[in-house]
Amino acid sequence: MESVKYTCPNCCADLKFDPQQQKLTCEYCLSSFTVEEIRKLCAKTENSIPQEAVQVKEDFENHTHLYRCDSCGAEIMADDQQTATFCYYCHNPVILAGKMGGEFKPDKVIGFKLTRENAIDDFKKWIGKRLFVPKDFKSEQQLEKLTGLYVPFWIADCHINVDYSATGKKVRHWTSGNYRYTETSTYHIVRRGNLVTRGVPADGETKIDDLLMEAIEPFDYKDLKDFSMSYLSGFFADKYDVDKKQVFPRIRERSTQACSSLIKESISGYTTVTPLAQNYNISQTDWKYTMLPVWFMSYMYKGKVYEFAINGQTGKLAGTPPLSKPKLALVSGIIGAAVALAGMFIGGAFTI
Amino acid sequence: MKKAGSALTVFITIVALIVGLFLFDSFVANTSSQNLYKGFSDDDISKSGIIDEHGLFAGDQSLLWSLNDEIQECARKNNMNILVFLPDSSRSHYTDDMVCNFTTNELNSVFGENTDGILYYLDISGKSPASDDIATSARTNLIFTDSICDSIFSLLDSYLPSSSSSEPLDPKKIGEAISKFCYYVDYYNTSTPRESYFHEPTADPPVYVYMKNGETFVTKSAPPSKKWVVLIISELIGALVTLIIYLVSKHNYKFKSKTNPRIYLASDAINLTQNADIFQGTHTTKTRIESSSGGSRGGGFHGGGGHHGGSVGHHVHHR
Repeated sequence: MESVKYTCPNCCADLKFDPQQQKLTCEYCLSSFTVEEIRKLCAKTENSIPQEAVQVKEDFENHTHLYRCDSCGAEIMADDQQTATFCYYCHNPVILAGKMGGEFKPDKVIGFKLTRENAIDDFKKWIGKRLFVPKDFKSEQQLEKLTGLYVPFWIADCHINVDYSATGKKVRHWTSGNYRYTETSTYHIVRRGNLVTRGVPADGETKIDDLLMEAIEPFDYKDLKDFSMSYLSGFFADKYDVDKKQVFPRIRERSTQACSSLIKESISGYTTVTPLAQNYNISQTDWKYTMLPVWFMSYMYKGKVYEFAINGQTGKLAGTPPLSKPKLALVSGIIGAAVALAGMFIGGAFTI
Repeated sequence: MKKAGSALTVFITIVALIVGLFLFDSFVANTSSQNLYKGFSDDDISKSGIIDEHGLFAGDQSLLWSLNDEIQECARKNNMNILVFLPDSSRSHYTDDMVCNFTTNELNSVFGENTDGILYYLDISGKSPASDDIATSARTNLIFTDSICDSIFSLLDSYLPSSSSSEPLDPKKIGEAISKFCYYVDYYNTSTPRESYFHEPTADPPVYVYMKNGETFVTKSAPPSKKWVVLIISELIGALVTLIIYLVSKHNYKFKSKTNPRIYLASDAINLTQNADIFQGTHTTKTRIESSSGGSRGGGFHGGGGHHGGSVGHHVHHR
């Protein structure tokens, strides 16, 4: 299978997307080009995405693909999902154009804004507050595992018909003489209408934990651009393996939660509210297949994999830090022992 | 298999910790400071008796000698120094604290600090109300507790004149009261179960009086029984603090921060065609309030003295 690369029009070295400049830069002659410029200059490369996905049956069977690096000629092995990677030998960026044909061609992309250094700083700040992580989790070796990845996302705009009704009760108490009075007023609450949720994202990749991706939201869609492969240069990228149909239940659930939250907010002043009907029907959904930037890191500790993700646009970080239980037990024990000793001193157990 | 091994390690660690703490507690509880106890000496018998500052028995010396003999016999029998002090009118301005200071100094100066002794300050100075005091030293603190001294005072009240009475003092009546005092000292010393320990915080230095293996101790350090309680309570608090820190910190290492999907609701596309709260009706219920009443309790008086030496406790009584 063919791979593509973006080369510098001046010196023919490989171009990489620079999140700081939001341009493709050449590390050798220091030239830089906007995505639009590269689109024009490398029209042939841009248009190399085939209109129909051509996948060899055998490839699918063993889920492994071989590509030839245009820089050094080495053969690169990649799995089904990878659409952008690096050559193992010369470490030049490789975009696997053949993987992004047809339905796998993203509509939109948000380029990385957070550089690797920014991501490492954010990670260090986040982990700095956690004292009981294993020592090697903070090591430079571990930080090297931080990987910039374009994650395939389905972004949905949902038009929702709301039909909500409930019984609300307002209870008032007062005392007069030897009697306590309770007045209960009953109301029929009705909320009907149309709502729209815009840009509800759901990652289209099984390898990545959905909750982890939801935790680093939101992405700022103002930076959404028409897809160009040049954004992928210098990063890893995957194509989706979960289609619209499969992510729709997640989208529906989150859209419903958003509507439900709005409806609940509009009901106030009641002592109790008992819903009678809560119907949130999605009448229309508009989809965009988008590549969103995420810095990733995983860490194996005591047989369990801990994953971290940093929003490559906003820097929002999420993940479960590994906990060194012996370290925590030791520190908790020392503090507990200090408290106990203080109690013994105050209680006079050591008076001689 | 790995989990079972880990559980066994935790179990062994906990058992080792408990055994280690027990050994530590045992060592700390049984380590005491220097024993300041002087006990009772037969050589001091002659110092027991009545100090008649008031001169009540000046006209009846034989009664005074007889009472002194009775007191010394009681002192010998009970292995404790006994002194009865009859103040004159120069001490009629004494407050309770002054009486306590005086009796402490008197007991210490006559018999020495930390000796087994009891001093009965029988207030016939003319002060109204009269402030009687029983000062106890060393081992006697474990016997003559507040409740016992209160019962002695109330039993002796019938022999003593009221401070508001204008009648002259009758030496015989006072003599009877002193005899009865000796009787009660003997009675309570032989029959009363002893307190586990006594603490005198106003002493300089503060001391504890307690018995261990049949021996009396007067030490700056707390008795083993109190130390055990302090140690165990402190360890339980420490264990609780450890557990709380462990669980709170562990909780902080759980995955959090799921984004609220409410942010995806387009504010310009909210179109509620029906947004109504329709009133349906009201109903009122009434319940009778049950009345209740409570009582009140009074407080008591606790007097205190200044700093003093030895292990002297006080029990003040107003007539």
